[in-house]
Amino acid sequence: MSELRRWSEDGATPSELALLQASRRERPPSSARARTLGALGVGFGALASMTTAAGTAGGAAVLTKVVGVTLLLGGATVGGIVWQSRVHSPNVAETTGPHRPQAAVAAGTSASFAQRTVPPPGATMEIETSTPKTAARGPKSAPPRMAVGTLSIEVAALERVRDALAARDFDVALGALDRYQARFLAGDLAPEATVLRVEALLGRGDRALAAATANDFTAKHPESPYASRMQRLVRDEQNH
Amino acid sequence: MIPELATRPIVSSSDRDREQRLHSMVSDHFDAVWRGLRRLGVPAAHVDDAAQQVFLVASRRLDTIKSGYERRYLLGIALRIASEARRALRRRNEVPIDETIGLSASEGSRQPDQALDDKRMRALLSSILDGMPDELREAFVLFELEQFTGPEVAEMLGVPLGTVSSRVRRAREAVRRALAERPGER
Repeated sequence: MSELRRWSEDGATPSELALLQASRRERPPSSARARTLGALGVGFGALASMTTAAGTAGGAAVLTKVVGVTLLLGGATVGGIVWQSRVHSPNVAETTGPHRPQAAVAAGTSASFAQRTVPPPGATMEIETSTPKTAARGPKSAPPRMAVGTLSIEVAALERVRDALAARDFDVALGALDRYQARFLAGDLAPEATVLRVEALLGRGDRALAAATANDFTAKHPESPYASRMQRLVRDEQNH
Repeated sequence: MIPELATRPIVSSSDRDREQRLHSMVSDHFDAVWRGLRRLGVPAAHVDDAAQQVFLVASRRLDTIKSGYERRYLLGIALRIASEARRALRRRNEVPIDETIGLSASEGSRQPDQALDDKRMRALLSSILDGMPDELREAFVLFELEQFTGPEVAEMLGVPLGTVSSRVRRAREAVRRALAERPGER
């Protein structure tokens, strides 16, 4: 078979080229990017670092970019606040409170930020399985919903684990983790789940198994920040 | 129990590195991800959410993403999320609603006629892509619209390069046929 060349170099008509070019010219609304930055929770920390970089480099262009992004993030923050006010799940409030387990804030980009997902006006993310409370409490006038994959389900599953940890129900937490890991063998949140397992085991007083779990993860993912996090948890508990 | 669990702040230089890398990924690749999701069939009303989800998933796997391969990785996630979205639409027997008539801010900054033409062209392209088998659509979007190379598309789709070539060519034929069937388009 001959080498695959771009259509533009391989006999595309003007109409066909116009179709391709119109697609490539499309840009998302800037608010969508800002909302994603807000959801990831990377806006202000990254900005601080960028500002430092700009200062050392003395680059006016970089500063201009920082100012522009700051304006965008201002919008994202407002959007985030509005979104938070529309979320009625008690889990969300709980995990941002003082009893929030440490694993939920580890690394700044852990499972918790999925709760900060900020949908655009008029759109709703649906958790399709065992979160009837959240779904049922949505606004009556909400538009038709759409499933957006398994990540939301994973987040909800680990929320139940965190609730149990916060209530010091370590056996319940471990049971919920067993169910999570049975369902999501290679889930997107598997590292967080392992951190929570180590916490639960330590909370139950099972230090040996907690250490073994942490060591097993560390052996498989030696560079992962979750590995150092788990090792720290085990070490701190031993020193406590 | 571990009393300090709830209070100890965790902010390290590696956290800041992560944040910066995530920030750069969003800045550099958000447009491509968002556009790719649209062309891959995510409805307009949900594309912002889906793009957000792509980056959330990527943030989980940040340590595994090789530097320089971010765009490819992100579009790979987008493929999966778009596939789920299409399946969800089919389960509900919903027909995706095409582009809205209004112009976005970026489009408004161009000549109004061209922006409107672009809008119409994209609506037409969406309707053509919606009528394509998924495997042709994915190959076409990645190769012709997002400009990945053939070997890159092959790796992303997990198929041989020859299969990518075949799918892209069949997709082109489908586009050509659909255009020819529209009065006044050719």
